[in-house]
Amino acid sequence: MYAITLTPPMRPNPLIIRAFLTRGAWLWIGARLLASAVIALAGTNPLDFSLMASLLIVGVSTALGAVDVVRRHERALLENLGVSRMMLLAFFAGPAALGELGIALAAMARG
Amino acid sequence: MMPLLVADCVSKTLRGRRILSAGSLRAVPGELRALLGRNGAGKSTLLKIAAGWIQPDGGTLTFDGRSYQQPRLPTLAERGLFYLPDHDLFSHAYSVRAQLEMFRRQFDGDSVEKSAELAGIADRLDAKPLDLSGGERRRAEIAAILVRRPKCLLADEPFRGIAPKDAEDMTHVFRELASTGMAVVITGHEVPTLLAAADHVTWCTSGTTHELGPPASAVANDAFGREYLGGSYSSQT
Repeated sequence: MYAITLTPPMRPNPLIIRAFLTRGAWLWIGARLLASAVIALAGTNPLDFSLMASLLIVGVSTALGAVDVVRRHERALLENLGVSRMMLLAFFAGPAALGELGIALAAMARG
Repeated sequence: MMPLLVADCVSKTLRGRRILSAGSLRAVPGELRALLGRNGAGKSTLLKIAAGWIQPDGGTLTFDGRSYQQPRLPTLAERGLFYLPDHDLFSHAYSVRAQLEMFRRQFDGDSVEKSAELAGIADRLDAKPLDLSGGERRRAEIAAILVRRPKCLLADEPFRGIAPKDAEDMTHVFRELASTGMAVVITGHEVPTLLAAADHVTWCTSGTTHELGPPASAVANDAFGREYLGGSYSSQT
């Protein structure tokens, strides 16, 4: 019989979490404003909720975050700090998903 | 002493070119090991695999009593490994102090101010890395190692682009770290500096490695002298 022990990954300290969640939030705001401008130009209400559009914006924000990390040469720093790639993507996807959820709730409340 | 890190029979092909066929690397607590080889011999690739920065095609890595087929740096870093890459370690976005503080909080490390003082960068703590000179950036990286105090340090060409005096100071720090029980492996082409500092030499050539032992034995090795050091170095010693 073999027992498999899974060690949970180390949790990043609040300083790292704050720095990258803040960046994730700014990237989402940028992606959202750009997408809203394009949707508005097409003559549609940018705050109308569409699941596909929201998922796309979360994906774009996450991808922008990943590109930004490479651009700023931060991979070595983050990996030496024990931050895995999955965790890093979560830093960028999290604020975007929350923001999109907020917009969806606002749209539903408005009816 | 037992090695803390063993990369065994590691192979790697990059863009269709076989870089490593059977490279091995050991990091032993209390020892400073120099990994030497000509450009393209595979030493940086071997160090990157040992650090979990890239994954090998074959071979195994053992670190701190655990074996890994596909090692990842974040996992190894948690267990006490620090990888100093052949490019800048620090993010351009935050001050040196903020990034050293990240290491201190994450690993319950040493004082940022004290480490910066020891590394000779105390007066530049609030600067961002892009505002530092090459030598200052290397010193800031040394400060990160001092804050982190890892069990094992793998440094890829740490003396790149810095003045001989800075290289001498860094060598002194690496020796000090090894004397505290840290396992240190460094690569580079600064042969006199590396041979003077190292306890052991590993030669990487033609996709494989040779353990040459202490620097005196390495220098006395005919093939190493002929194929790596060259005639002028051999005649100087």
